[in-house]
Amino acid sequence: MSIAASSTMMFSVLILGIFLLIISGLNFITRSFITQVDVIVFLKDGLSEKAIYELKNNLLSYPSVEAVHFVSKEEAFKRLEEKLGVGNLSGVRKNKLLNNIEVSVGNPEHIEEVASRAEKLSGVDHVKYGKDIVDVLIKFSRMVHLIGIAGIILITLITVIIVSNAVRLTIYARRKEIEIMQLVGATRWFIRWPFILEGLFYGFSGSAGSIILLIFICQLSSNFIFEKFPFLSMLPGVTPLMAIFLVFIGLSVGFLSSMISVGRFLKV
Amino acid sequence: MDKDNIIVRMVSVSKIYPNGVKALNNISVDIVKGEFVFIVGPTGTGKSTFLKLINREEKASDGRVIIDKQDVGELSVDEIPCLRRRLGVIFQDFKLLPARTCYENVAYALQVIGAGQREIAYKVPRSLESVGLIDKKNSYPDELSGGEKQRVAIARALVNHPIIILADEPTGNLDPDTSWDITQLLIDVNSQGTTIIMATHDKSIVNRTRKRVIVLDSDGTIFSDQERGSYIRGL
Ligand SMILES: Nc1ncnc2c1ncn2[C@@H]1O[C@H](COP(=O)(O)OP(=O)(O)O)[C@@H](O)[C@H]1O
Ligand SMILES: [Mg+2]
Repeated sequence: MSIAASSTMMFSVLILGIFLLIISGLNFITRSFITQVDVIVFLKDGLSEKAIYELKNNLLSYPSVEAVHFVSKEEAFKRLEEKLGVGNLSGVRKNKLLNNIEVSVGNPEHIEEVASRAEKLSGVDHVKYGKDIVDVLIKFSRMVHLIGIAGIILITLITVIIVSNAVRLTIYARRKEIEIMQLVGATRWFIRWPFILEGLFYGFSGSAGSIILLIFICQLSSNFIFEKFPFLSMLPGVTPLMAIFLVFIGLSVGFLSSMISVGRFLKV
Repeated sequence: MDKDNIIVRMVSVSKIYPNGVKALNNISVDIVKGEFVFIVGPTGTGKSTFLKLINREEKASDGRVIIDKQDVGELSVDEIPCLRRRLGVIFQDFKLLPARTCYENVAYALQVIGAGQREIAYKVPRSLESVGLIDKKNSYPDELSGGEKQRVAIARALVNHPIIILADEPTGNLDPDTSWDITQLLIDVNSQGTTIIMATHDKSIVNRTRKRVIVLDSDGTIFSDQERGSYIRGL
């Protein structure tokens, strides 16, 4: 067993883990922005309760709409009061405000479509949503996903190369045994499995070690981050799913590395 | 020759290595069960290639190699071990594992094909006995002479009761007397029914033994094939 292979695996998975944390953090941030900038449908004055009810149902029937919430003039005023402080409201007249419906859209890519459809409904005065910020966020979240996938593939590949070289050293030391095994009729799987086990061992110990380090790093950095950016206090950190993913990647890389390395020493 | 008794049949076999070297060129040979055959010729004439085609270390580029009625060119990679378990191989460099005793080296050949402890405990001492090395079963290869090392290798080749023994210059690293001892041992093994195919370029052994001799030519063809022959290359 080689310490080099184990620690190589550990640092590679650690880098992968840090990368995943950053990606999932960015993803989380964009998502929380997006859920704040849903579509607001402002209603004409003097709609009956029945008309409002039908409008709500109509909006809810769009597949991409997740929830609707009616905000009356009174409620809108109250919110404004809270936001600005009562004293400042002297200039605002309640009847300048409109009844409106807040619409939550699941996928930010559908916000624009929902908005334009809502605009055409009768009883709707106008529709508001943060078009620019939605566009930016969509682009950003697409980019984050792309970089995420490319990064995972790249780091995994590099790890396979490094670890398969480490495994190759131990296989090289046993090349004479492998040659003899083949000559006397051992099956390829019989020859492979000890090395595969070795690779899986590196994968497991390396990824387990890196998860522990990751949790440690998260703890250390969280105090600092939360102090500077309180809104990030909901950041996901090392989730069980991520831990399972990292172990899975470690085991796969270990398996693949061993298969590749043994393959080079197996003649027909 | 009795058709049913043919254990090795090569039909128009050629072997061209990926680098373009034509090691064997349109060779046809039949070897009968129980025969002792020398494959002779200078270095580079394709003796080793001839043996490697039999245990499927190499695959013929053309023609058919039939071992005990089975076309080995048609074997899948996963069927090759099955063929090899029925063949014994010995080499000039012995190919023993230095960190294992004689006993363990022979047992190794059984272990790696999944034999049980009882089978190993039964077969290994008998095999070492048959090559006259039971007294040295706990010695390591480094503690043995060249001839003794080759005996261990022969014991390992015999332990699974092969139908054919492929010997690739088994006396190449031995002095003339020891070479003759090893050849005698192989002749003994052969007299008990095992087919032996031995590649060598040792003239004196070939001429003294008077077995069948297949002489390979430098262009990869068969120069001559004689019963009770001698090393006639160049005559
Ligand atoms: N694996 C290989 N790849 C390429 N050429 C080879 C290989 N093995 C043998 N040869 C070539 O094939 C020819 C025959 O080799 P070999 O069968 O080893 O001859 P011999 O055993 O009679 O010395 C030689 O020219 C050798 O260089
Ligand atoms: Mg040779």
